[in-house]
Amino acid sequence: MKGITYKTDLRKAKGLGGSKSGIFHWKWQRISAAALVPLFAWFIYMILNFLVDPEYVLNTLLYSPFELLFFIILINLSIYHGVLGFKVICEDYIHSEFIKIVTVVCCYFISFITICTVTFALMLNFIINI
Amino acid sequence: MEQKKRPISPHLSIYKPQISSILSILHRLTGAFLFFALIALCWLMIALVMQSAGVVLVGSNTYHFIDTWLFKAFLLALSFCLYYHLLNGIRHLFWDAGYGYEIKSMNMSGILVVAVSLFMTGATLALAIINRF
Repeated sequence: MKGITYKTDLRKAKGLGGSKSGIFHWKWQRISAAALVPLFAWFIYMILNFLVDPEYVLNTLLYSPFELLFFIILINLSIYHGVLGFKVICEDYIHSEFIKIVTVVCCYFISFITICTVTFALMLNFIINI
Repeated sequence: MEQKKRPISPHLSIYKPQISSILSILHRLTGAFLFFALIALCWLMIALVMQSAGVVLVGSNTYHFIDTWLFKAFLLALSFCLYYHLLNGIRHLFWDAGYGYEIKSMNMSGILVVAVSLFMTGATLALAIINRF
């Protein structure tokens, strides 16, 4: 009979190695959150204005350079913040290692394509309608 | 074999519901919903914007779709999620800075966040109704 061990299975390496980046994820989730607070304060102001005068707000958001820039930064930063948050949710609730990795990678990929396409579409729309 | 059935954190099903735990879960749920909705709205916006640039990705039914009650209800739910996640996120940032850890102030700030986000959702709805959206 082998000796009783108080260690859990976690003592065995899972084959994934160290994360190599201890605080990066935590830190950037907070930094992007802090940056998004004023951006969304502005955006909520725009939403409420949109309900009063849709045409004016759409023209401002899509065709005045600074507002469009803020809008693009807001979308990009939101998706980045969303990816970080969604990764945490996946890691907490998906217990199958394979499904977890596939979900997170798919999420990265879809988010990246969305960011590229939405930025391209907004800038194209700005350039041809200016 | 028994070792494999060790309980895995977070123990949602056996956790006694409290303001803190419910609001924490709500923060995650609204966050996930906002993320999916953001991706979906981005593609909707891409379709509409490209259409005005002459590239027709979808038919004219996109314009009909954004005029349906289903889409408007979705936007209202989305606005509540946005307000709640934004306000509760600020609460989280205060915690990260080391403030507001006492049980009393935690519960108070939690109730305040829910109340303000409900009020803001109501104000948004009122503004939409007044302007006949």
